[in-house]
Amino acid sequence: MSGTPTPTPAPSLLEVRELCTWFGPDDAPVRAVDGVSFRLERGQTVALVGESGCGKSVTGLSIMQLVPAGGRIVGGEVRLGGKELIRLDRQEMTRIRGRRMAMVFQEPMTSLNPLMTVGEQIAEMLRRHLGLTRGQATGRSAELLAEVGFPRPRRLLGEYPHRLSGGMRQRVMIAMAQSCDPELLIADEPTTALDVTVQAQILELLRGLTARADTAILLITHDLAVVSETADHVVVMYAGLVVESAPTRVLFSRPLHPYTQGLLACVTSITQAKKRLRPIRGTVPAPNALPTGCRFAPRCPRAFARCPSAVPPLVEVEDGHQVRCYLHPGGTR
Amino acid sequence: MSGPALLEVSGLTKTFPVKTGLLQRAKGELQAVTDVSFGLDRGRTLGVVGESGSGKSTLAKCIVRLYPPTSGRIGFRGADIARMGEGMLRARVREHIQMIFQDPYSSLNPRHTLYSIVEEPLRVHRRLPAEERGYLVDAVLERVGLDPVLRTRRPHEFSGGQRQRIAIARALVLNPDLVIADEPVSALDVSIQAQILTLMQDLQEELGLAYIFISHDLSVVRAIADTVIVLYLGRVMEVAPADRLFACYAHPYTQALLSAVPMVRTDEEERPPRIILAGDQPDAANPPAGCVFHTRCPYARNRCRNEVPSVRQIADQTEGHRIACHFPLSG
Repeated sequence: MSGTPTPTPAPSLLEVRELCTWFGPDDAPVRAVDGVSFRLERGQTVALVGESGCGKSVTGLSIMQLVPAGGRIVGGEVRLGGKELIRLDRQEMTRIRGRRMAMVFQEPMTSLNPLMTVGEQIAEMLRRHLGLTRGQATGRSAELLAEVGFPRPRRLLGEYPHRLSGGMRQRVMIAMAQSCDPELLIADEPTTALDVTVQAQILELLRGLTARADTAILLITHDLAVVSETADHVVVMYAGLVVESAPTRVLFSRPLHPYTQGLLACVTSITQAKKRLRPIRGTVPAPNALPTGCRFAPRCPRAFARCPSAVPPLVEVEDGHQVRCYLHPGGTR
Repeated sequence: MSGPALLEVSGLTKTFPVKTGLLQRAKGELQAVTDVSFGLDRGRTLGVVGESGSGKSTLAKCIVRLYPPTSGRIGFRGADIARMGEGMLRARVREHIQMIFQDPYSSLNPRHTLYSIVEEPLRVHRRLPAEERGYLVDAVLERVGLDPVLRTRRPHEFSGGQRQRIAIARALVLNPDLVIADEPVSALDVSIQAQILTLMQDLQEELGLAYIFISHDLSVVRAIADTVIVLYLGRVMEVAPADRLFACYAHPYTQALLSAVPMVRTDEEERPPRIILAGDQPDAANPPAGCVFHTRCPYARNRCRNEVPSVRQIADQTEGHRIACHFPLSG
């Protein structure tokens, strides 16, 4: 940090600091999330990207305090509007979840109750968290469904989830997540199973939320093209660690980490004629057998002697652009 | 290339009965694929794109004859296999057309070892001594990048990318002419997706394979296909050489599909304006009259609501650019 004292800024909407979430036995833990830090401001979209097993989904669940069985948060801080969430009791956390932060998942069918109508599910949220009456809740449910683009929302209230298409279910989930006007929406692969035209509708919807309601979105995805079109800032994860973090345009124009560069070389594009891709060799290391030093070194085309020595630090190389790589040792801090 | 194409599909139609109620009485029919025609040469890749419900997978299953087509012709190596009986298919066709699926985990028998999964097609189709089978299996495993040392492992011990390599090895062990790949990389991470696409390209070059590559991901199709066919509700909307289709598409549906594809952009690039299609796809069992796309087409006129457009060559344009639209986009 610079030497001159600055007035304490207002806290970020979400601040994650050195978050560690481990699974399995204490003597041989699987370090799924191993010291992840980033922040998210109101109305901003930050993307957490990386391949399966990089820890992006566990990071999202840890923020919600919904770590799956077998896992535990062993260190770090998660602050929502300055308030530390990690040691809150269950009751307090339940109030925050749904009311101030909500989450949508890749497969909405698993998070919707198949035995309740769409209307009943949204109304339940509204009555529990906002104390609306049954009549008020029904009216508001219809409004919420209209906001996510259903032309005849009243008719939809009586439908069961299985009668809806994947895109419709995802819109219902977003309507539910929006029901209490949360400050933070965590979206884990919200468009991965959808057709491109439906994906475009959902992404448009998410963009609308940040613009209209000033909702902050944490977008968790492996799809770099979706990130490019939706996020303001990107955090790239590999094997439980943040390896690069930058404003979106900067990351895609000047990626610094060889892993980010490798991922971008693998991306196919409709504007690029038939071509040979340049895949990253090898596969992601198993979380219980991480290499020493830089975890990407065994697959890295630019690895050198220093890489296996110790995990490189995350250093800031320009404003808002951080990278964890010995090729860029001279950070400004 | 002269002479007949490896695969020549014309007028292919597949209809399923729609059954209802406890007694499963037929209440109507669903045309999953309607009047689809195309040709494919050896060593070339046909990309098939469209949204869910567009008939992509049904088309594939008709060509490998997992489904009997309702009508139309499937010329393969000079013979019509559309109405060929199972005995003839087995003797003359099956080994030459292989298929790869999206989720190799559900298409590989979890109780079999790597070796027996890849060897099985040889046991079924070739009368060879065990030793020779072993030699062929090892060779194909090495070719797709799997260590033959792993031959006693079972599918669950492999990663998603490795399982797709197993599926490819199994498809290639009989040295087929045509491989139909249905969303082969859709379930894979980007870096693994690139590895599998590169492997498929290398194998094509070496072995002269023809691919039918089905995907909802247009950018993946762009990377591998020579020709692209765009389906909507089981009908061909547009067919063209890939370079032409992605640059000079003429069908409003192709335009909408391409405009919806997310793109990685750097500082300099701007994205083309996005056309968001209104509403949802119509029910395939009850398709709209006229052009099936008219209910969502931003340019639909009266004629589109009443008259089915036929698939026709665009006048004075690149050979092989065909479109089903009364009012093609220009430029």
